[in-house]
Amino acid sequence: MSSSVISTLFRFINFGLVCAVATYVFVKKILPSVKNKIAAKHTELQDIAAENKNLLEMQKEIQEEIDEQELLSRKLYDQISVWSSVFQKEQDLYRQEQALVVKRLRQRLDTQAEYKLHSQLRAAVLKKAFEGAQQELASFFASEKNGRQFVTSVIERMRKDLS
Amino acid sequence: MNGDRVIARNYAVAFINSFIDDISEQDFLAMQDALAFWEENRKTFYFLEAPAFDAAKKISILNEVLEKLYAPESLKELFALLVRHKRVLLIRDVLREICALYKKRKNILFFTISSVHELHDDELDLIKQFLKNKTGKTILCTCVIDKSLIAGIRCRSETVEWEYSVRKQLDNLRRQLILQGST
Repeated sequence: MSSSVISTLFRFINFGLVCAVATYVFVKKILPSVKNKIAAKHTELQDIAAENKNLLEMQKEIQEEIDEQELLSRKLYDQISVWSSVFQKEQDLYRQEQALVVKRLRQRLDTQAEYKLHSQLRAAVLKKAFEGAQQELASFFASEKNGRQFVTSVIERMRKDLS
Repeated sequence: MNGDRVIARNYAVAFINSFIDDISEQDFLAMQDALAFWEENRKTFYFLEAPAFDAAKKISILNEVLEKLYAPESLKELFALLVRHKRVLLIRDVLREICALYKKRKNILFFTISSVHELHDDELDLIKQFLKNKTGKTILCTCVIDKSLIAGIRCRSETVEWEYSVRKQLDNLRRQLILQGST
């Protein structure tokens, strides 16, 4: 056999050996680590997917809640509008009543003032009239004749009462 | 003070029980005058409490006062007794009780009759008769002149008042007019 054939043969054997070693190293050392990395990434992806799903659900719930809140706020707003109009009406009514009370009070005060003035006037006039009457009567009855006449009339009354 | 009134009442009751039949209406009026005199001159008689005067001196002073007031003799005896018992300050209360008891026992009502002019005896008798008829009691009275009546008569006792005077009619009229004005 020629040396070139042998050389080629050994080259093949060498190549085969190198391939075997490379396969062995790949299978024993690199493949498990790659597998592990793929599994880890896969788990990570699953987690992210799950999280994504959760977030979507959460978003849906939040959206529902927002809708509910909007509905509620609309209702509340409507109620506030109703209350505000009722309150406004009551305020108006109260103001009207107050105005009526003040008007009546003023009328009453006017009447009272008028009455007081009238009474004061009446009292003053009465006082004056009685003072005058008293003076006149006193001067009339100052004379013994008139005074006696009055006493005689009183005595006559008593006499009649006795009989 | 209450104790003094009880003691005064006891003296008065004893006096009335002993002398009621001896006391005339005139005597009663004199006792009323004595009481009024005592009320007016209360403070003057405080000196009778002073120990500087002996009992005989006090009794003689009191007798003199009573004589001036025409009070009955029996009252002098009572005052002398009060001096001896050292209860001179009770004289006023005793007198008051005596007058009250006398009026009660004799069924007397004492009137003060006021008029503007002096009343005649026959008028006074008729007034007494009228008051007796109205009250059912024996009437004793004293007369006073009261110009404020303007004209007419007023008979006033502790419990009864009867008046027919121009002053009263004026007052009634004034009251009526005031009442009419207030309604």
